[in-house]
Amino acid sequence: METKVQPVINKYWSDDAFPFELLPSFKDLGIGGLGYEGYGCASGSQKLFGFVAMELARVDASIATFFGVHSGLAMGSIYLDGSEEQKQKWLPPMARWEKIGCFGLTEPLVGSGTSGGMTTTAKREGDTWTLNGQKRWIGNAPWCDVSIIWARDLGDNQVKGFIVENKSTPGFSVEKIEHKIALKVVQNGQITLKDVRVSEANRLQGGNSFRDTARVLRMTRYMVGWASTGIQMGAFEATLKYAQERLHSASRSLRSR
Amino acid sequence: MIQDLLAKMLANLTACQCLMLRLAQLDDEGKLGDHHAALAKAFCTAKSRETVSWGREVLGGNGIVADYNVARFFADAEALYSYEGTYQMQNLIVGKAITGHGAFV
Repeated sequence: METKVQPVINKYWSDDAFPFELLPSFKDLGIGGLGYEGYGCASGSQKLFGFVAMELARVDASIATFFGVHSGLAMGSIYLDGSEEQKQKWLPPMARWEKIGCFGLTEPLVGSGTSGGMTTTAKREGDTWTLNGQKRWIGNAPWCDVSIIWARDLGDNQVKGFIVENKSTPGFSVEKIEHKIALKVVQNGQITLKDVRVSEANRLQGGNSFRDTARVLRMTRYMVGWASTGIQMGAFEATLKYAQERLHSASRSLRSR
Repeated sequence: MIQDLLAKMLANLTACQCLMLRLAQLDDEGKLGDHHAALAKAFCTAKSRETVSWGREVLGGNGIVADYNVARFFADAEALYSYEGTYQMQNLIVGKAITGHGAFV
């Protein structure tokens, strides 16, 4: 992070751009699926997961968020709510960062209140589900490969999760959210689902209500606590360095008088 | 006063480190509840807004120039405060756990 990200991140941040050039080095960190056992994941304790999140954010919060969305939210949904078969299929390529994920929960008209008022719907006919609705603020959405979409089942009114291969699924479109003033490196999108068809095999088999979504959120909120601690460390270090440099140059100019 | 601002920044981040370390212990023991994660998310993101704004103040005008890093942290802290469930939403989760009454609408 300090040698590869720090030298270029302010430029990417100012340009609202994601540093794709850094992805190979990022993969070398070996932190895909940190905290998850098996399925090619990096494993490790929750303490380690937290420290890594803090250290990423200490250099850049957008990179920490990119990691959190892919490894935490998207992979976490499959790890916590997926069937054995789904975990074996999706987690290894995601742990290797070959397939990048996003997590579609928040909606344009329903922000943090999606537990009670989710408007995106899922209708089952045989072994096929049809999804309709919109998702907003979805990090990685404009360029990722796998989208975890949460929708309300019209059959039982419960929230369920779906694994959508967004690049090859008709009816799935993403519009990049422009002109943000925070986390500018993270590419956020507004997703529109218009009669998107997903097979029952791609419905998260362990996700039968919002309680199962909340298990994923508990883990990622824990991570955000660490990341916002890292932000403070990064800001403190930069501030201290600045203050000391100013102090030195001020005392030099006083001496030269 | 620069040293006052630096000391307050350090106090905030140290408090967050201690809280998060305790949470990590609970998590590794399998005892982390939704309300624990919500409490920590709300507290650390709120403290983070304070900390970065003091950093911004120390840098003066350069605190709003991206080249000096602090401006980036200053802006980014806003997103963390509201994403993954807003500050108010986290406190509703904590409030329900400590009072037994859900105030969600």
